[in-house]
Amino acid sequence: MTSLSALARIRAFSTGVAQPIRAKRHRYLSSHPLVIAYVRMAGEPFSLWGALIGKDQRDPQWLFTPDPRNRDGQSAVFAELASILVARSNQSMANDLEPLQILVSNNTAASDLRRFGRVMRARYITDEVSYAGALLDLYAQSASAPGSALCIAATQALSIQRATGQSVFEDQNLASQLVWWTPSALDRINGSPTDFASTFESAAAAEELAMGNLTTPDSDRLFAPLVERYNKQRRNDSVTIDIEAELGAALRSQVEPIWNAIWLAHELLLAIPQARTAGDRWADDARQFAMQKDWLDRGGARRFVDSPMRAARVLSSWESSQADLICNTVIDDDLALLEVALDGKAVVGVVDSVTEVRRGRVRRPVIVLRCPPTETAVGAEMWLRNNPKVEGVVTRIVENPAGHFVHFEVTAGMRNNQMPTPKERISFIALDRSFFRKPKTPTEAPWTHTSCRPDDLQGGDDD
Amino acid sequence: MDAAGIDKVALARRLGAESPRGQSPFAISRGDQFEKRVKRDEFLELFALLRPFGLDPITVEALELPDIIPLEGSAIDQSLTERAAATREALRSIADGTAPPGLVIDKATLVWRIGEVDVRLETDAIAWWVGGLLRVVEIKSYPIEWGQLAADKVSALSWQTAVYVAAVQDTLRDLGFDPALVSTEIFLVCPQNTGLRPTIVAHDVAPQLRLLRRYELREDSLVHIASAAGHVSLDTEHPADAFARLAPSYQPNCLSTCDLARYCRQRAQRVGEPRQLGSEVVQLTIGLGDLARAFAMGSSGIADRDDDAARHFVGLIEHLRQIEATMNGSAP
Repeated sequence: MTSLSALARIRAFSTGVAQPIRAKRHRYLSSHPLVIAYVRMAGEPFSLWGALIGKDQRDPQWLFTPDPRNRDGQSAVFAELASILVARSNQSMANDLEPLQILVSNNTAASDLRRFGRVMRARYITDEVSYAGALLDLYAQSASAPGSALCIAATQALSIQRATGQSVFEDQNLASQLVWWTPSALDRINGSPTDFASTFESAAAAEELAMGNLTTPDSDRLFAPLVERYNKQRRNDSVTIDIEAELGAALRSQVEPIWNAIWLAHELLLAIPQARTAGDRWADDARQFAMQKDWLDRGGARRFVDSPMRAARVLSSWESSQADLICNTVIDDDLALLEVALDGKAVVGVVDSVTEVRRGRVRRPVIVLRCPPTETAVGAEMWLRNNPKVEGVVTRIVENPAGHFVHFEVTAGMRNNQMPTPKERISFIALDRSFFRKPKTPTEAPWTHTSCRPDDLQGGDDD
Repeated sequence: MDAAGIDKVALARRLGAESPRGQSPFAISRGDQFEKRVKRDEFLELFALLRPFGLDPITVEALELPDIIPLEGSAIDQSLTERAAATREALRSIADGTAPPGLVIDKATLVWRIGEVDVRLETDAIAWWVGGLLRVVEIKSYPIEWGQLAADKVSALSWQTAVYVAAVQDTLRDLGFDPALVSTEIFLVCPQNTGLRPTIVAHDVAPQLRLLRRYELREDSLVHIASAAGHVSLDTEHPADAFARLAPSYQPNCLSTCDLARYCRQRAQRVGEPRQLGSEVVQLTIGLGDLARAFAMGSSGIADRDDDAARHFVGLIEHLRQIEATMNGSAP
């Protein structure tokens, strides 16, 4: 968090309405992503109990197994999930020439995709299930990659845009974050009109809903006897259709609010104008995805745990995407510029004059900027926001009754015809761009980073 | 409150802010199922897991407290006291060398004194001897996935088991033996990957133990809270007033651990306590007191008082407005 977002949080707290901290949306958002709203059974981290899945809010597919602890029933659900995923992914590549985008409720839900990916491969079910498991793993990993839009967690996407009047911790509940965006959120999510005196109260009511990857403990106390009855009837070989329907309907009523909340988040996010460079990042995503998918299509395997070398490469590429994302966000978004300027990492001003200084045999342009008082010090290295190739250094800061003046000596990247003119509004940014240079990794992992136990590398399942 | 043994769920209900907590029956049944599996066939799997660490396979036997002293519905308290006494005796026989070299105390129960309050702790097992030392064994039903365990889980179980180690140390000291007989390295038994097959890892909780001992030195404050909480019995006519005397310090992560968190949050929202919004807001509003005051000064841009905190905050707002004005082209 920054000063700007902390101020926005205070304002949201006092007004009951989420406050913008970004003017643009910096990640690509498809008008028809694949939304996956699901719950697993508590205590069973690798289970998929019930899921609504689809690209159209009015037309979801319902996947469900009465007791995911039963292997056969669980495998059938994974097979269904796999066939939807593979079909949708291929369809997207063929028709829209872009990868399928997945939207889930929050970060926990996104990281659970990785667990599904692992169990779908570890318990060998069919080739298609293993393949879909590898795809899910790929999506889950990209959910943590900065700027990637392959797999979006709704809570995270929303909290980048606006600050709410509650903590980051509470924002993890999608419904409770949404009530700060729109007063009608709960009606839209729950389907019943609600009336609360304050946003605090509606947020507290929203917390009663299952919004992550688990049913609520209270509802589990209702489900437990149903599951038990189902198992008993199954053991006695009696017909289980009725109890399955009853349990299915009860469970679906827990998943539907999640489904509605994700689509509401989608609608709100889609209404925010997309940033200039979001398309470029999506093109990067598509390239990466095509490469990995191609490898899988040719029968390539995906490890359960990255090798140390690969982990180092992934981390390094995330670091540079992170730096790239931060810099581009400041370039594309006025509120982001305001944020870094307030924290002293940028100077915003009006060109007062452009002069020259002699340095040995070269002459360098000096831009004098009239600006609000700034924390920037002499010697700070900065680059020009509307032409990031232009680099320079602050050589003087003058304060007089006419205002603050920052002298900025250009050291690289400026052409004569690109010189700013007096009265022009420009900004200099001090954000670090050194991450753009990728660090060298050794060709072999040192001994300190090898020696994973062999069973860590493949999917050794239990007996 | 915990120290004073107050029923926080009941108190929260009385204060009208119950938390939707409690554990799911499915989670509980999985935990039971896994623990049963680890201990079935006379501890076959647990012994097998401990053997590579030096548990003697020939003389090993289990002291099965749950069988010897079952928990009776009405006399749980009595049974736990008996278990604690039996555990103490077992520890004595281990320390004075009369116990066989292989002994696993199932559900070893310890009494630990914080301040002036005795707290009873139930471990999953204590094993003797493994590499010459006593070891605390903790059984958890969440999986170690391909050699990895989430950081929040590691942190929670480190604290939990550090308390057990501290209690064993204190018991040994109390009996007149060397507390170093118990290792600070505990054993964690979890399901491996996607199934229920158990796996074991050794984990050192010495750092948590050191911090715990430091907290103990300052146990005065704990005793103070415990005795203050003593006045908040459920029979009090005005629990809210009594509770307010405790000066609760709510912060967002209370929500995941405490049954009273929702009540404290309502209170924090009412008084505009900055801490509820996270540490950055706290930093920004140092010295300002409450959020309403910060908001008012933020809107007006005028310091309501002539103090450093107000001047600093208004300075920031002024700075923000100047940058905005420059960006919009409306600067003078």
